[in-house]
Amino acid sequence: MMKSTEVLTLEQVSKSFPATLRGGEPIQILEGVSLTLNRATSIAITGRSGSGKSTLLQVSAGLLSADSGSIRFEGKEIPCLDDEHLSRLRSRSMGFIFQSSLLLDDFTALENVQISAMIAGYSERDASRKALAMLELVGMQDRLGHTSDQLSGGERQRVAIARALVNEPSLIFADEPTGSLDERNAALVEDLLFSLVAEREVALMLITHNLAFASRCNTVYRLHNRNVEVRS
Amino acid sequence: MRLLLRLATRYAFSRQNRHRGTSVRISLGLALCLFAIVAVLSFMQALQRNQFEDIRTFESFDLQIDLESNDYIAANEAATLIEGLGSVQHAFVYVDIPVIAQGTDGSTIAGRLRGIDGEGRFLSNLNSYRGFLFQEGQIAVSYSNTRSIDMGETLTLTFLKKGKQATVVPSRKELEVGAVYYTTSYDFDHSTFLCDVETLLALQGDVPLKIGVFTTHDVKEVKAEIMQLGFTNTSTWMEINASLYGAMELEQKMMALMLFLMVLVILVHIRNSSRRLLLAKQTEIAMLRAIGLTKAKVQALFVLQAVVVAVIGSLVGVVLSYAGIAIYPTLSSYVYRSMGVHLELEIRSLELLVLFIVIVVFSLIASFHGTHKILKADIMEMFTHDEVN
Repeated sequence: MMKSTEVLTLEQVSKSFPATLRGGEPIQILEGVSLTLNRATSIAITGRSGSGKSTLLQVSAGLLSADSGSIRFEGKEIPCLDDEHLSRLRSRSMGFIFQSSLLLDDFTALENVQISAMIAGYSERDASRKALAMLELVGMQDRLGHTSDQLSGGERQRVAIARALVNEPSLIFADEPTGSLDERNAALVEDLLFSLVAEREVALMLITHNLAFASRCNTVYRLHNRNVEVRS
Repeated sequence: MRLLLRLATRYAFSRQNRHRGTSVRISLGLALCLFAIVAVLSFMQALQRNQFEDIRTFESFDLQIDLESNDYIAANEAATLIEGLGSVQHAFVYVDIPVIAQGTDGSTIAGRLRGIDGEGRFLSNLNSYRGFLFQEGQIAVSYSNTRSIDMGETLTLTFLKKGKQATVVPSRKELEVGAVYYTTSYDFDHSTFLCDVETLLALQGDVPLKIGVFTTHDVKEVKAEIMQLGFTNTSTWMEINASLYGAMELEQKMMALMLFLMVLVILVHIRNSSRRLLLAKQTEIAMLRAIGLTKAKVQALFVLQAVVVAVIGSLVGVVLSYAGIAIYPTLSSYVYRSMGVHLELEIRSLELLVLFIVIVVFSLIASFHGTHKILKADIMEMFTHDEVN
């Protein structure tokens, strides 16, 4: 019974990067990391800068390949998937929120969310309808026609949240989503993220420095010495 | 596909896109290139048509048959026989002999005397400026030669004749100038004196006669038909003017090649700008890939973007070309003043279509080549890439 609620399972995952100097040793970032993320639960990964938090998120989402170990997403072994299957999985079952919101510069807030839905296979009309509903949910209904450079940092991040949730994913990967925001906007985005995640029963993997933010998750891990440990 | 097209057009021409200027410049460059190629080719083809038309009308006719005999009656019968062919419009007897003409003021012109039973295109394009053409015992000079020899004067013609002791001997005869003519061919006018065949035979009776032929059919096929009648010494205008024809064909091909090099330069620009655009958009591409766009679709997106730019540029070029040809008649007087010819420009649609397809296909290949390597990078490598402006 427990197995069926698992969204993401990492077993003995290791990742290293080539040495920056010729002939040097590879830089080991992750070593034998294992963790499980269940449906409608949230985990936070904390740790000091350079400890490999973002690398762990990227490897978990298949944005970066692991050196060894097993990464299963909804029962599918991510390293075994080809580009097309992995892309389909990312578009339909994963949502991403990054520190800098990374919207498409040439498109409006509405189009940014709509494009994500269209990539997942929705028709233009359905994608537009869903995008509109999602942007209303994050309070951006008055900014639909604004492009990235016409939005504030907090607004961009709210559009990014709408984009991450528009395809009703089973897991949201959020990498320092409030890292570049002021205190007020950070609080707004935090509240919004957690309320939507709870409301939609989406799993959340959150990378953050902010322990207060992290403590709102069901489990808080600390990445230390290339592996994760549960933070008390 | 709709999504990719939307992304591609936005990337190519969006107001937010800092590379919009590049896309516009490439489109305009392609448009002007295409227009230049079409304009130059149209002019060249019109000039060649004009030149070939003059050659076929006045110089060598569509076909000519060497008879190896000076029997005028037999030659006329042969011409009548050939004219009986369904593919032949006109067949007529003529003969050329080289002459040196001396006017009353002592000036001389080296040229030829053509005796001809003028018919068909030759006669309809031959204009009488003064007097009556082809009067027995009289000669016609061209308007371009009237500075040396004028109407009513007596012209002394020196030509070579079969001798009794030597093979040929110079002979001299005087003929009155009965008419002044002009044609559209300066070369022909400058070097040719005209008379009827009988007048020429009266001057020199032992010269072999020829038959000139006009046709609207394929000259090679008509040649084959004439040869079947037993006239084996038949030549087409292309064979008679082989070196000129070959040179003009070569000139046209070389010009097309030179012009196509212009297109290649633009295509290299497309390749580089596709690459630059992709480099500048790496973070966005990484984002698109993270939210589910496959590598192949990202590649297709940038190829499509280049194709959109190329298609728009080429379409503008096509419109410019047709517009240029349409307004040419109002400018043709300037061309006549500078070149002395009336040209009728036309666009060969097939050539234009081929050019259009070549530009679009090449831009597709150029952009594919420019973006293929970059897309091999990992998504996260692209995320961390510094934007190139």
